[in-house]
Amino acid sequence: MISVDHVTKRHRDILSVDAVSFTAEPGEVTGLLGPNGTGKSSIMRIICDLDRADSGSVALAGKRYRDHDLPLRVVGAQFEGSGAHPARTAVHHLRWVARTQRLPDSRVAEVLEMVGLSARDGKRAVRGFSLGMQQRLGIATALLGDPQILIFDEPANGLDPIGILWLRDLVTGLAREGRTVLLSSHLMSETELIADRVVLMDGGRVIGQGSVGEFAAEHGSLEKAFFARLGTARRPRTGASGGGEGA
Amino acid sequence: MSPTITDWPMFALHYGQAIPILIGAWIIGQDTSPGSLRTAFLAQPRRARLALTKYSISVLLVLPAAVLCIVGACAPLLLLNEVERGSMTPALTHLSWLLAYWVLIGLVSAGLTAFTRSTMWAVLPLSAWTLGLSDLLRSRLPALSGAMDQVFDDAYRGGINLSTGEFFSVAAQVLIVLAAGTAAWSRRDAHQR
Repeated sequence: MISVDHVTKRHRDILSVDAVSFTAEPGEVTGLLGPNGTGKSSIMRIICDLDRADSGSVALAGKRYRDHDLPLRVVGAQFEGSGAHPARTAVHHLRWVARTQRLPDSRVAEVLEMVGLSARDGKRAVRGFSLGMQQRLGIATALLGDPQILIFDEPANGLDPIGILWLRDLVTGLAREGRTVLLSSHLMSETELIADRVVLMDGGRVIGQGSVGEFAAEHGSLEKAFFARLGTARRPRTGASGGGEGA
Repeated sequence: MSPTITDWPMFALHYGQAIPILIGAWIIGQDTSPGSLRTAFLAQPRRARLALTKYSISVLLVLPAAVLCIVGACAPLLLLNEVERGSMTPALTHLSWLLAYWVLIGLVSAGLTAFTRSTMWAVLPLSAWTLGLSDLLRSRLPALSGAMDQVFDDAYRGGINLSTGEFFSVAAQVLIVLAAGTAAWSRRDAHQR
């Protein structure tokens, strides 16, 4: 389970995350939904201890990210791109990550297969990968430790329609296995298909949260629910718009 | 005037300083490319521990490289019996200090790379200073050269004659670079890739 409790983060004069609280439960896909620059990536970075919250707390399976001895065995995270050194091959990248978590090298071939990258792709330098292949490698890195908690930041970016269909099956399958899945997206129709629960965000704040079914029943669709909430909740933030999304 | 065989060791030892600079920068710098630093921090969120491991690896790589370079630099003299028997012991003592100096240079390079998160901003100034630009800067910026000499020239030229005070001064400055590098490396901010 992921528990985010009153997390606030300010980047200079911009309030990127404003007292955000939510939980992501095992067996469910929780979607962080909102326009670009609304603080989704900032929250995910804070959850993974890549960024420091000014206040509030985060717990993953009851502990902070940094307090897990082998964190990638508990939490798998994918952010923009592959996360690999461009000169390394996919196999070498996955192998060094696996070794830091005391995972067998055989796990590398397994995750490459899971994300649809061939053994030949695995021997290529990452700099030659398309955007979609880099996303797949990033997802493979997240899956490496067979973690119970998975965090995907805009995972559909760069994927073609077949890739998006594959991603949908993968994410829902992972949740069906009892894992906690948190993903961020600005694609409302796609999130409606994947997520069980959504946290609607704007201006660094949560403007609504609940099950996708509840929102759809109340407003007709997730998109309509988002804009209905947006109309009532939007208020100006200090400084220019946009938070940590592009950071 | 063409260089003689006795110039070779000094030439090799002088330009060999690039080796610890490159090793220190490489060990830290291989994880400063877009994305890979983030993966490293996800795999080991205790960042200071990661930095200390990398500093240790730098030392482990610099030591054999330094031994190889020193042996390679002195080999022609030894083979041609150019070294007087009586001068071997002080020469070896001085070379052992050179070994320590290389380790310090490697650590400063690693610390500077961690601090700037850029291989270039560590390698360029250190190379410029240790390999030749120091004389130019010394003539133009005497105040700067005074500070830099304390770190580099004292260590390099002082050899076994380095006083205890000077030794601790050098050690303290290397530690400051390492501490600043580790602190900058460990900072959790939104501008990391």
